[in-house]
Amino acid sequence: MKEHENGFTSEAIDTQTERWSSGLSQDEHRLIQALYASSQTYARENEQSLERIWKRFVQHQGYPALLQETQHTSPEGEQFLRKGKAMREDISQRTSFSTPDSWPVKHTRRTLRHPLSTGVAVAVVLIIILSSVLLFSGLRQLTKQNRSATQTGAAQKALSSGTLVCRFSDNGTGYPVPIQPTLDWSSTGRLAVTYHNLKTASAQDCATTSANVLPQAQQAIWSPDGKRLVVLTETSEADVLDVSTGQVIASFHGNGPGDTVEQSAWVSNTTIVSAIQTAKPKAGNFATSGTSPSLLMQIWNANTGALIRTAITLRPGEQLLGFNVGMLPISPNGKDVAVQNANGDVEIWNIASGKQLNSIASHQSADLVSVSALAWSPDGAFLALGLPDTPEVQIWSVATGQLITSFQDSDTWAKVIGALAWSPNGKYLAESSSGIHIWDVKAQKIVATFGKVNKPAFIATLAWSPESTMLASTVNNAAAVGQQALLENTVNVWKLS
Amino acid sequence: MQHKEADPLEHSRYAQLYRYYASSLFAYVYQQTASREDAEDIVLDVFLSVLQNKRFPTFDAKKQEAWLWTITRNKVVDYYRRSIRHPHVSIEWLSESLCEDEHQAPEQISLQHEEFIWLSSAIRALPELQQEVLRLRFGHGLKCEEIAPAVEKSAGAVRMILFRTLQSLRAFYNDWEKGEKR
Repeated sequence: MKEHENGFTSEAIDTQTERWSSGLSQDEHRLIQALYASSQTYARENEQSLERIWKRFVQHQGYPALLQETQHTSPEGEQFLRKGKAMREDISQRTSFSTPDSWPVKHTRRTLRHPLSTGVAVAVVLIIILSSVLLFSGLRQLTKQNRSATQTGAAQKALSSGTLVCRFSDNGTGYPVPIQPTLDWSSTGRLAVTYHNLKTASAQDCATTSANVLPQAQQAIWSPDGKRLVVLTETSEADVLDVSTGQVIASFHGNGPGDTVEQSAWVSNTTIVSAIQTAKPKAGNFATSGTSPSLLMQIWNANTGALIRTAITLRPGEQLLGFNVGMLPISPNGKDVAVQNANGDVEIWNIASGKQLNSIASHQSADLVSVSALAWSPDGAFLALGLPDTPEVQIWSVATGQLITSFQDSDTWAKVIGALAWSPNGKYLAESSSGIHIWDVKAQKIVATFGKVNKPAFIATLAWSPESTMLASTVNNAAAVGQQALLENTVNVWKLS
Repeated sequence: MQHKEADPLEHSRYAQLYRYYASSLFAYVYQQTASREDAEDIVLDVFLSVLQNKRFPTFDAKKQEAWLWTITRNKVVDYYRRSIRHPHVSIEWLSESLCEDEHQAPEQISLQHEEFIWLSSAIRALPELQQEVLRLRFGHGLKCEEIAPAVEKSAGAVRMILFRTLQSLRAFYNDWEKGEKR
């Protein structure tokens, strides 16, 4: 072949290697054609693979996690499920429960972040003893918390059932975004629900008091005095809404163009802490290069929207725990924040001091980014996590970094935890998926089950009343992805007794 | 792909998401597992995880991409952990035989067959990364930007690798053609 003036260039290599690219010399063109021809059979097989995956995906569009239910109807589903089953073999070894009385409690000792591997018997014994002490202290702490709550709070009869008080619908207005609903219960007895919109209602009779004040709202959280809401919007800002007037009185946008407000929580009636994802520092693929944007925890004035200070600047690769806007990684009163580092460990940072307090061990090696639910205990001492891909809940001690206990919800078609919410008195942990379970933290057993819904309905959000006597939940249709039905959302208010 | 016209979900964001990312994720997983069936299972699993992540639709494109790759890598790691054997089998993506073309003369077919054998051996002599970039570009139809996360390089680095690889092959080609003419 003759030498030529044309030549491959790194800048234009994508277009130059297109199948029918022009502007190449004869030998270059021949090389490209030969490469395509040599890989033709392989490329066709790949196309077929992608077709097959897509067809199977469409068959399973009713997910989340309804695979096991469909395995008897779809041969392809069965093939997939065999694998899924194998992947979860270790999980299936754990005891699961389907009735309140049979919910077992695991007192698992998981490895700490820096596991010791001495191999020396004495050291092993010491570790076991130490772990037992830590575990015991964690359990005592859990029990102590409950005792304290019972002693200081109003005397409350043990819960055993839930009765529906009222319900209202809050169908989303957007299409076709299957966004997560959020729900919050104010100190004055009002509910704020977002589902691609914002609606507030009385928790006593479900009478709605305002609707669509802020279209495309993603999350709304009441101020401690119940007069204002901090609302995350799709425009990636946080707005402070005066509920009595319906006016936005302050907005926070982060520090510049491209910054997004990821989460917000009230520190007091006049200050808010927000997690700010800064604009990407430079071009490139941060999925692999690790040059992710910085995450800041910033405190700002809820009256003016002015930044007060940046409390924490997290390291590259660190992100908030929980990918779901309804999973607030900030502990009550804006005290601590749960962050996931690049290794998958969960770090607890104190917002006031800007210091890292502790790390809790990775709860699972894979899929850490998709924790399905999380809830802080009211005193910030414990963190309850819903594991990904399995309906298991784990409770971790923030102080010791130790796994305190865990339990599973086997009574769900969805096979994943929808929401977790700790009662304000610290005594109960509410868990939902396709039903609601109230778990007595001290007794470590389920004491009430109610509100069961059938596939494809899913209970994605829970919120307790301040007195820990009522619970609100949202039920939305998780199956018809891409369909209007997806945006159907109903809020139920339950009286617990 | 045919499902583009036929499927009622075509207009959904999931179809769009699938079109954007499925090829590169599959190419990566296939390379890691060397099993087409397992790769299909894992990629399906990844996209089902998208459905499971209730906040995924609210992510911007970069975050979605990052999330998809994280999940995919985790699932591959999980696959390794649970596999009894991890055979390092190289994927046969190069065909040395041609699809018969009735318009071609027998001599032409023979010459092209030789050319393919030669090209195949030249490619196999390349460093592994260069072979991998070629496989992803020509066997999976990925652009450099899409190849980048699969080989854990920047898009710029991939462009340079592909450019250099093609330069090398072109030089080999010159040698081969000279040999043919002799």
